[in-house]
Amino acid sequence: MTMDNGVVVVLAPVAGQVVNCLTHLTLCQIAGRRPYVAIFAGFFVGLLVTAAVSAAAVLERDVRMADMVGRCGLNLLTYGALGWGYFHFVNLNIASLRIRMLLEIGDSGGATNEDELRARYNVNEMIALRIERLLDGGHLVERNARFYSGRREFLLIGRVFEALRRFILGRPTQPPPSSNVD
Amino acid sequence: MRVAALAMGLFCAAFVVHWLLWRVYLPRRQTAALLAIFFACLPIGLAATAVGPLARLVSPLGGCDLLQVGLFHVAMTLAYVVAYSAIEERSPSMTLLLYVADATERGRTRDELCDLLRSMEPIERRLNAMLRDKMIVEADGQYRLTAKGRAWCAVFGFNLRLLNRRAGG
Repeated sequence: MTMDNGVVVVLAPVAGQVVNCLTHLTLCQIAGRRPYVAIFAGFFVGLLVTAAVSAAAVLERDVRMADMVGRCGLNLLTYGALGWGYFHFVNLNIASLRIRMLLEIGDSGGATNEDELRARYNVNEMIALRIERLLDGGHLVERNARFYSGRREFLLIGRVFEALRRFILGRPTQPPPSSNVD
Repeated sequence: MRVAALAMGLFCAAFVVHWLLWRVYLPRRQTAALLAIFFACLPIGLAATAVGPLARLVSPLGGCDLLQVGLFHVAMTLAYVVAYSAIEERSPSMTLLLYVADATERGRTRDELCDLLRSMEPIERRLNAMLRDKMIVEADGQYRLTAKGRAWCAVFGFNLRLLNRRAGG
């Protein structure tokens, strides 16, 4: 594999991520109140670009099938990891209370006191906002003034993270407050 | 295929080091410790492939091979650190979903959900987290942004404008 060709293979996930970002930002201007549609669409387009560029660069040279599969697979995993990081960065803007608090302290001239924060962040409104977001996404359903599980995707992810918490931290319960940004 | 195997092997080795260390000692600044472990394992692992028995398995490695392995390792490390924040502490939304799921057919009332989230002390915990991470400082009853906090504001404020959105939370 030539150096130029090799560099193209290596940078395919980066190209895919750039396309992901550009697609997402473009769709944000159109998708309006459905931010996750734009995020997933951008990820999918970037994935196609990564796969296409990787395959084209590898096929340009006479490479063994095993090497082609290995390099393309590695690129797809690399792109997946970059996309995962980008998704969470964007999601912080959408769902993170901490980021919102930080931005509002900034908008207050860089300083505020706890009473002002409490007045601005009515806990009941915050809770209602989270519940409404889960209802809008179909993750919760409301029947006869009670809430039930809806779509299972995030619940499954939650169960996976519970299992990972037990495996890595050795405990299932919530640990003391940490630097988790949310 | 050997490049892919090397890349995944290095990342798995770093994960094993992290898992073993966590069995013995849980660092106070876990994210910083994770980054140190994973980023240290990359040059150490690549150096190990240049000598010894591993060299016979993976050599020769070109510049592009090393770059591909490095990019994979960095991307996967950052992705794991992001995932780790959700492993370390459950988000309020995930807490709600699991709480409702555990109730199965009985379901939960809105008051039960509100009581659960209120017990998580959302404002206090986030203020304490921002103080601990030195994004804000407290003085004379006021919370002020630090340079780090102002940098975060600039990044996320710019991103919100690009996203054509207001801050959520």
